[in-house]
Amino acid sequence: MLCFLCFSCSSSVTKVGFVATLSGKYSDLGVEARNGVMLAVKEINCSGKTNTKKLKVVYKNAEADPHVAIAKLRELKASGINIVIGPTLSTLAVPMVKWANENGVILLSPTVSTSQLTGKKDNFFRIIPDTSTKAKKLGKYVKNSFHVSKICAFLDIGNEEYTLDFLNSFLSVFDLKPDELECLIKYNFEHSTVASFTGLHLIMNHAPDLVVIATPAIDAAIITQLVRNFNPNAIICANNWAKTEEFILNVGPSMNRIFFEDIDPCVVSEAISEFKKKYFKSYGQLPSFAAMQGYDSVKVLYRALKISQENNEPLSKALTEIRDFPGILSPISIDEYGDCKRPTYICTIENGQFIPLSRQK
Amino acid sequence: MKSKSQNTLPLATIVKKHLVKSIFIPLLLFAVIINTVLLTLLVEEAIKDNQFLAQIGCVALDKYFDTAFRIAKNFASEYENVPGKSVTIFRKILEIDPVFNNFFIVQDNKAIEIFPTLNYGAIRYAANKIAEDLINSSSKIKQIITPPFYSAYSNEVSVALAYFVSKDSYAIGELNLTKFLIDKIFLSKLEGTTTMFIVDRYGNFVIHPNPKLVAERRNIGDENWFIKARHNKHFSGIVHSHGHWQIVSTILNPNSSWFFVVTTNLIAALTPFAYWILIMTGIFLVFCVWTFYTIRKEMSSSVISPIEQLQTLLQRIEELPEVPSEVYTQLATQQGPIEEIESFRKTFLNTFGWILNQEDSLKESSLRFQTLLHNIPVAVLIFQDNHFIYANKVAEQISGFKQEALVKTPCWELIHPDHREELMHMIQMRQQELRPAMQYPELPIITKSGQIKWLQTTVGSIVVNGRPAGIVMATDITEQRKAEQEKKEMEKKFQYLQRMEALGILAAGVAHEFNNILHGIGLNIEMLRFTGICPTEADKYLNTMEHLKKRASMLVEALLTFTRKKQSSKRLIHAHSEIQRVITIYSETLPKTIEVKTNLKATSDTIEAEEGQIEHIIMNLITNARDAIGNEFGTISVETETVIIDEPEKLKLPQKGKYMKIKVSDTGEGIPEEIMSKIFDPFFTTKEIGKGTGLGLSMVLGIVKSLGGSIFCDSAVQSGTTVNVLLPLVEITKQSTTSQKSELEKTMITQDALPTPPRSLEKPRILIIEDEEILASLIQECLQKEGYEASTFNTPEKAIEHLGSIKRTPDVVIMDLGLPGIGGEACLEHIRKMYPTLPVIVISGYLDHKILKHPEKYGVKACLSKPFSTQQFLQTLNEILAK
Repeated sequence: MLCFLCFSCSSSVTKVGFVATLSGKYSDLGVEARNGVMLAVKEINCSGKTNTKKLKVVYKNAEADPHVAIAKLRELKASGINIVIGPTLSTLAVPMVKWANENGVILLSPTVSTSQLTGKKDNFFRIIPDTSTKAKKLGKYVKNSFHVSKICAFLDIGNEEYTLDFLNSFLSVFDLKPDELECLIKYNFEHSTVASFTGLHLIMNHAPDLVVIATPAIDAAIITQLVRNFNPNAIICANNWAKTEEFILNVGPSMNRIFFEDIDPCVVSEAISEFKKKYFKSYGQLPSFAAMQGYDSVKVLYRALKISQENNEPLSKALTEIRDFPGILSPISIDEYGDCKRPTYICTIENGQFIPLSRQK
Repeated sequence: MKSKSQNTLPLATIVKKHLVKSIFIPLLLFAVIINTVLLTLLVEEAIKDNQFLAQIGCVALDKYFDTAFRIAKNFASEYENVPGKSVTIFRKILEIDPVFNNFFIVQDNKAIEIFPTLNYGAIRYAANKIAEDLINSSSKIKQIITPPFYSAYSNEVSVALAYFVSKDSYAIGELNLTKFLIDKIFLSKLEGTTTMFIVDRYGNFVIHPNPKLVAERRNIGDENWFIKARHNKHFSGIVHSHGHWQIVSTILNPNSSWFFVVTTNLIAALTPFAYWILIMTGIFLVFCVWTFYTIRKEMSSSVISPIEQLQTLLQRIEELPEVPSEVYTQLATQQGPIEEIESFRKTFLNTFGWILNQEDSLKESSLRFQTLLHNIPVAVLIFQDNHFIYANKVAEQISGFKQEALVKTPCWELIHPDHREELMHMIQMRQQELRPAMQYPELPIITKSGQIKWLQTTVGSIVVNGRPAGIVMATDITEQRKAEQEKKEMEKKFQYLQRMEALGILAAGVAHEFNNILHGIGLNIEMLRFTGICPTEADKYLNTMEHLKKRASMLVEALLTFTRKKQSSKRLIHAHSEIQRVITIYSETLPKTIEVKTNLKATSDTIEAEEGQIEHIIMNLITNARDAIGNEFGTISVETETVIIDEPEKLKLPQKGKYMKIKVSDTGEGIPEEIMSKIFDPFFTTKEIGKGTGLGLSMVLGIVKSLGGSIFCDSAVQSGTTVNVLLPLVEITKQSTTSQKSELEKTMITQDALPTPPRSLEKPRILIIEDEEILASLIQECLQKEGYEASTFNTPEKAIEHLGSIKRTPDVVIMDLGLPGIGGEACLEHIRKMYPTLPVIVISGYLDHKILKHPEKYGVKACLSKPFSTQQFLQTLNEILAK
């Protein structure tokens, strides 16, 4: 009620669109990001400060389809909305960015990290570092810490923009390309699960000592279990897509020598704890990083809108002036190309919990 | 005719108005109320329907969850007792399939798969989280249902159920929402305005006819109505959600903590009924209009028309000539109805005549009352709600406001501000305590011109338009009040004058007696000197006696001057020379600490005054100035100037013209304000005993008044005193100046060289009539010494008798006026009758006697006021004898 009253007395309302995959197999990221966005909007509009800018968000489901996503963008544009939070999947990002550039719509993504959009002067902005940065960091660590001779990889081609980007960046440290690997297994998560992939066990014939996994958490857990059955000392490197509670619950007891790249420092800070409480209270579940990114994207956008208003400059320029914004996980900065500069971390698992590499015993 | 047509109109109007007021409007109101009640009942009904649907849904939910929990419990128990052996796959599939998509048992932290064979991560994740929650929970929760999540197993949004058997044993299943009974029965088949759906306790959609909402895992947790509903087991109300008004009913299912929600679009639900209500209201309105016109028509035909006809009939009857008595007599026996008609006509005529008379009387009375109010010489005002609502002409005249202006003005503004609050309070008290009319003998008001007028006022109460009002009757007593004040002033002045008159009479009497005594003492002293019987050593005492006698004489003179009894001849005096002379003489006697400054700049200084009067004024004022300065250093300044007075009344002067202003000021201690008004009173003094008589300033006042001038004193403590004396100047032409001067010079000569008494061979014979024997003998002795033949008589009778008997008439008669017996005046008359040419010198202490004022009228040659000196007496006598 208080929120309603505050909203009623607001002086101006900025309408913002939200386009992400909210249903289907890839909906977890989108739904959590949306929930995070909703929390942030509620906080801003209920801040109790009168005569401040309020936000109204129109949510659209991209249904993991680029055509649908662009159709939704078109709808938003037609209703006068030129600022859109989304998408959450890299696969959708590339065609959406193209359309956004042509139509003067600004996209701010909470989770898209594909390197294809890095270093380009366009209407695309994000608050997550690109995959390349993180993957290379992870690759360098493995290359410097272990002796690796045989490398196999699993790739979910359902989100190939991201997974292939991750794999290429990781392998670039070893001066390898995917087709030069010992073995490469590709499958589409949207249509089947890795568990149902009948030739899965064939990978073990190659006896890899490093397995690179670019899949969702469940598949990553199943693959890990399988690899461990044949080679308990094999090194597992996975993208942060797989770094969820679900992975830990499914991976079983063999949790050593598994490494992830992530923006999550794997340390429960006060901000993270606070956000988790808020999220759980509203939705009855614990949030993933996507929810936090969704939340941060609104806060960053709001800050940029204020800068834009104060300096009387375009929002696109104001977004590039974001420096060390206090995100839930770590400080956020956006460079002149709209790419995010923030710390990345290598995490591992110990005693059923993700921990930063620095804390590993 | 005119009055009758006026009578018919109101009746129709009244009937029309009453119909509208009494029938049409109540009927309309009735329709509105009925419709409102009807709509309320409809909403109530819709809420009840929603509640009923929600209850049914909740029962179905209960059954569903009972089944789910029973399966979970049974299988968990079976596996706990006989792990993996006694349950056939067939039975499992049959039982589990309708409820769970995926089901397994966890024992000792190890999953035992039941159906299907593959353990899938999402469900396990949810189940483990639930298990953690259950284990960590201190409460005795046996089962938990997760929020919706996307199940990769079923490729749709699902929820998981966990049943807690023991610490290490629990059953977990992914609920089969698509096969949900409620979905089949209610949700898919409901059409129209009502929607049923299920949300969990966080507001996440679990089941909804629109699968998109579930697929996108929409949440209504932030909606205000749900925030209220989630805290109640049952909730019903009208809510505004997403731009629509909806009737919402929710019931909490305790097994699942899910809410079964039934919503109905309020507008859509009421629209059919609203049409029906509009139609019914329209019919009702038509009915009302029809009823209105029917009743009006009926009233017109049954009431108004008969009355109008009756009125017309009466007019005709009135116009009919009276039936001749013979016709009446003739027809009386044959036509009975004529009598009735005549009787009817007479009765009606009488009644109408009486009504018309009453009406005329009322009009006349009203006119009389209005004429009375308008012409009554008393102001009449009526006020209500703090404003005047009526004011008659007198009120307008007194206040200066027209009635229109008075009505616009708050009545209290007319009252003088000093009395406003008090009057308001009194009137309020009077109204509250229901006191009778109150009188305010003197009430000041402020008129339109801002003038203050005093009114004698009576305030009472009347009723105007059924509400209490105040009536004010007021008489202007401003002039009367002014006259009374003037009268009081006059009375005060009169009393003062009476007091002064009495004091004057007393002073005159005392002075007369004193003068006689002083005269005697003076003559005795002169005799002692003249006869030389006293040794030379006695001269000192004689001088002292003479000095004391002079002081006493001055005191008496002062008394007489104050009472203006002393009359002597005025002459033209140069005031500047008088002032200069006084200052020259007086400066010698002043202390060295006092400086005297003079600035005599008056262009003219001729004043008509008695000899010594100016000197007296200046000397008195300088004496007072000196006493005021005392032993301190100070200055006395005497200034004169010529002033022209155009407004004499302001300065208490008798006429316009040129005046000399004599200003005597000092730097002394000043006069306190409280005694300023008394300084001119006789015998008032602030000096020590023996130093002042208290007659100085009163004497000065007396002199100044007698000269036609005025005197003012300006003083303040520690600021010195200034006395201004205004004396009329005499305009002297050149010729008159010369003649006056010669007169002055003549006077001076007369004063300097006394005429010697004529000497003849025969001694002049002087007859003295004086009742004071000592005085008589002294005069006689004095005259004899001067060679006169003098005889004395102490009563007039003896003197007249003597004059009648002697052969040689005396040369001069010297007589007192205050004689015993027939008195001095009668005595003089007798002497004048006997010897009209015989010179008479009057000596008297009564200086205001008419003979002294006009001696020539009574044949008196000269007058001498007591006490006089021997020299003065002899000079006067010799002058008369010389003539």
